[in-house]
Amino acid sequence: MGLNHLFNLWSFKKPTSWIFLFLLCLQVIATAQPAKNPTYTLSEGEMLISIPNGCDSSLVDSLIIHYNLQDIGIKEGYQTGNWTKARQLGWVVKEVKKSMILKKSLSELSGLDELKMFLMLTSQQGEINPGYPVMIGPLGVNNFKKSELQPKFINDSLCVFQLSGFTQAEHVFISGSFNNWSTINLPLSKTNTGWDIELKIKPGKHLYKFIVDGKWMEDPNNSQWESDGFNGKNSVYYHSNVLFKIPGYLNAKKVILAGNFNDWNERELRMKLNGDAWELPVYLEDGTYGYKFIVDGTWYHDTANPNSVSDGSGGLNSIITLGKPHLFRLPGYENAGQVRLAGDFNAWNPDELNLSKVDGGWELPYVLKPGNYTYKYIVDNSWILDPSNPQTTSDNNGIVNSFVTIGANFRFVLKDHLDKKEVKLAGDFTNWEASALTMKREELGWSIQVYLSPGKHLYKYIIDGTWVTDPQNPLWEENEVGTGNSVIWQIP
Amino acid sequence: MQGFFRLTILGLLVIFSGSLVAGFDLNSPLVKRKKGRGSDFPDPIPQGESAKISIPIKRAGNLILMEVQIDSIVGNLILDTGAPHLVLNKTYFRNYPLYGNVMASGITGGGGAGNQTRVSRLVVAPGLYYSDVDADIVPLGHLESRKGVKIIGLFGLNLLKRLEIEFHLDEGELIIYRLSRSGARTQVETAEEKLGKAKTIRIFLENGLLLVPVTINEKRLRFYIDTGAETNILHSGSSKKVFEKVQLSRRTMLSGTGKEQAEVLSGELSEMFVDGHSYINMDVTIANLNSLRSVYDSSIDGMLGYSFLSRRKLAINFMKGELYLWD
Repeated sequence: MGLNHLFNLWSFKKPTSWIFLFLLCLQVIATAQPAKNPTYTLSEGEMLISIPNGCDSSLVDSLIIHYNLQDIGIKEGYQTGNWTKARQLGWVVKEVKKSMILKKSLSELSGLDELKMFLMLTSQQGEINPGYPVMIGPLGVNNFKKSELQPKFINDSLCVFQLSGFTQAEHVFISGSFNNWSTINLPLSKTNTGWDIELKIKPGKHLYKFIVDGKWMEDPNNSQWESDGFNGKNSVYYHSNVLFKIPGYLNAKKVILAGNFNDWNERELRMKLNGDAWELPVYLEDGTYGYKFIVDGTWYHDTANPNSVSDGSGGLNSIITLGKPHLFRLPGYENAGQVRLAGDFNAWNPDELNLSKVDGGWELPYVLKPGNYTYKYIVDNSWILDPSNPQTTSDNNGIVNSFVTIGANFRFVLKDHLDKKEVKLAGDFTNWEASALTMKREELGWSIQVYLSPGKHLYKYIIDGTWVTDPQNPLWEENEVGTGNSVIWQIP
Repeated sequence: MQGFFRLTILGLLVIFSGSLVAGFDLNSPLVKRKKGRGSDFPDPIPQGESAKISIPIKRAGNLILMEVQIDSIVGNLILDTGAPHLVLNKTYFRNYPLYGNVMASGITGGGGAGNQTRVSRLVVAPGLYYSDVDADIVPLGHLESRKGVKIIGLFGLNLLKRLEIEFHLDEGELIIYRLSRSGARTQVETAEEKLGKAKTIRIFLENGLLLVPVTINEKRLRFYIDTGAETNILHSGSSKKVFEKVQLSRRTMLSGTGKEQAEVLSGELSEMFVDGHSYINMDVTIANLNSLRSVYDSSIDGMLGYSFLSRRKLAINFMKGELYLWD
């Protein structure tokens, strides 16, 4: 538009017009040149970094960060003209057509062996424990299309999974987080209408699939699933540990369970009439929860549950506690004004957990889900180790904290060695802290119980200061110091 | 996951040699191939009744895992055409009797200490097993720790030589066909199972590598298929025309042992053709393959890994040396 306008305004017969046009063309040509951006390319078998003189230093910074070129000294060279560092690293530096050009032959790249070592050692760790379920919130409820085909709950540790149809299939397996996703160790049996299998299972969240004649398949009767990370679905099953139940109200249209486990949601958890009571089986993580029933819009507490607290509106909230509280106890310190507890379980918040004064010390019963935890007491304003707990571990900064295992699921036993003074256990689960876990001397040897998360774990015993692999465990692997570490696979 | 942070398996054979734990000395790869040949172990013969077997695979990153039973040990093997034969993780096979240099073949590197063994039975599926399979034993502990799954070894090329495999990676499935002496499927095929519209491409088994002709920017190149490679690799010495199709995305420094740092590049290959089939925008790592080329006496230009295998339906007949690609 602008150019057309100018052409109309000026007569080309005037020499001044031609001069103006010439200048204008120069301007257009100048502005039409490619942007002066620094580049990093491959050319003629060489890596080539091109930095135009006078280009914006922020563009140079972006190039350096984007391609990870920090070590070459580009910024320093660009600012000071000193390219020594780049030259020391084998780059040829020349100024060509108002640009600094850095070239290096690709033949300087590492060989395949080194490349692969690199890829191995730097590959991301996010995929450790693939397929192990993660709870989002403390509550899990199943959602099956046909209730008669959902896994049959037998008891806390047993249920029957079913797959309807597929009667022409030769083999059907179930594979999930409960069997480390084995594709061959849980075959289903054929029934008149399909397939089933009785499984030992723990309360909690489980992911699974069926395998019908070699083909993976999510449970067609289960509406609840998560992505398997490969364009497929893992079905989700919660093996319940609590049955909420309210008898009567047989003429009610809608009965809802609400509690602090679901932010008192008034619509989410619909109960089902079963005989003479409304029921809902759920999985709840360890913890203390308040809840109520809503029968056709009216809120009721659970009269069958003697534990309740005021709801603040003249009514009651029923209370349910899951998991056994661990008693944090600090003996002595009777003159202290305040004793508090902080640990990795509450993000080391010092203002949250107060111990109560009791005879001979201070106490706080506190429910934690299974795991290994570190903590300290805060006596008035001093952070101290738990004097009655010999187990300690240090964090990445070398700070020593007390160490406690809740819900231990594995017992390490070292037979014999009773002539030794001290046996300790170190492993990936204690950050390889040598002084972490002191084993208990028993009649036939030494032992300690810890919690191990699902997956692979490495460990060693330290017998009077000497690191040894577990003589009773045939599985061990080489380590980076040329000795070995014992290996355990913990099944979820 | 960025293609750059992926692992190629042939390297594992080197990475996990005992020398790694002694400080990343990579000069003595554990599994060497003799120049001009593949595995010097006899090719194991697939046994069992099934002519067609569907195998549910699992994946750790871009590794393809098959759960198998080897004698009494159950665990996952990585499908790895980059490995010449069965390779076992030392953690689980430590007590197997070792023999070394018996074959006098040069397969075993690492100073001649015996690291070969023989397993009695390798069961892949109810209808497919092998008997008396020779194997190398190497430490693979770092790999399974990194991947979080129990990996008992690598299912290498010589186990595949009498089979055809159809890759259905999207569905998490491999279909294995038994072959007759002529290399034809022994299964009586339904019309649906016939290759149909698949195009047949001649591939070559040379020095234990599955070589495929590939074209990049009108340059004819030779790549090999490595099912154990988590990314594709392009030789850094390829021509300028080839690199015109590569968009660099990142450079990373690698510290070797006592050597100066070396560079590793990753990027995207905008277009590649395998016999007219186009592959657009594939992850690629650029590496110097000279060491590999010297061992194989071959002009290898690169390696095709998981991102190639997962791009479209394909099958490999290892006996006939044919690659089948579907549109």
